[in-house]
Amino acid sequence: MSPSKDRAAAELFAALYPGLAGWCRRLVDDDGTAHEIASEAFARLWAHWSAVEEPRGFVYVTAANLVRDHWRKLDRERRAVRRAGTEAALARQQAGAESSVPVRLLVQSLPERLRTAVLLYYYADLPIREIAVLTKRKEGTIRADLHAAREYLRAGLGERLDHTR
Amino acid sequence: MPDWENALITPVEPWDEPFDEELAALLLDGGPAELTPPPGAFRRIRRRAARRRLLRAGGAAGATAAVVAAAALLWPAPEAARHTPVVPLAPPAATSTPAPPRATRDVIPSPEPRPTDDPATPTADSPRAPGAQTGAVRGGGRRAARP
Repeated sequence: MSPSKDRAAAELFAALYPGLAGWCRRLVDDDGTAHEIASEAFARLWAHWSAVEEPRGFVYVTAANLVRDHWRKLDRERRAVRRAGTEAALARQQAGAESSVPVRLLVQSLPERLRTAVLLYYYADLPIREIAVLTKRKEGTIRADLHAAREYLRAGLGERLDHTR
Repeated sequence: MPDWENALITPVEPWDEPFDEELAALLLDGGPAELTPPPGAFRRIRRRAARRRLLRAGGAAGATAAVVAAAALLWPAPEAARHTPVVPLAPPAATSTPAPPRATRDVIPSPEPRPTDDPATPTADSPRAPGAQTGAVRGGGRRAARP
């Protein structure tokens, strides 16, 4: 790898990694998983760097897909634990969890199309135009998805939203 | 007031709804804005990406070699397809009496295949007719060599 490319990669890493890892941390349970997902997103970026036009969007979309996979894995594990008959342990665990976990679970329960739009718009702070390019969909469709997602989340967070007014 | 929220047509500016900022604050609450990368993370990730590029390049080269080998097996070289046996020409037979050309068919090569020793294979130029081998049916005249 040429020194100039290495330098460019280091600058990109310094600029994007902390925000990406923090974004992942809001969506997963621990710092280690957040770092794993952020690292994997950067590894995929640099493995295909010559073909990527928008690095920031690429790593966030990649991380969103990895977060989705992580949630699916957790769902499978939770179902397995429930089948094993430890529902009481799960209830205790969820009761003592942070206040943001139910919010995250609400986001997690969104349909994938809506969840991706929410993750990229709210959590990654990407503009709608860029989300449309990255997901290969029209801007109007992204706006409609965000609207539908907001309705769903508002219904789930009703008391909290009233409290914050 | 129209119920824009439940309308089938997408509102023009849905993100201007009054709850958007509050919803954003709630969604983003409870987590760090940034996480510092662990020591050595940059180098580790670069090495991982380099290994994947190498594997991809090796995989592409292997796939190309496999395609070339399969093509060579399925479509052999043109020279192999043209290998057909050629009947060698026999040397002229040395005899005291001049033999009619027809009696020594093997001397003069002709473009058409001619019967030699097989009397059961009549052709248009054969002096022998079906059944002539018995000798008695059609008469001996047909056995005479033709010029």
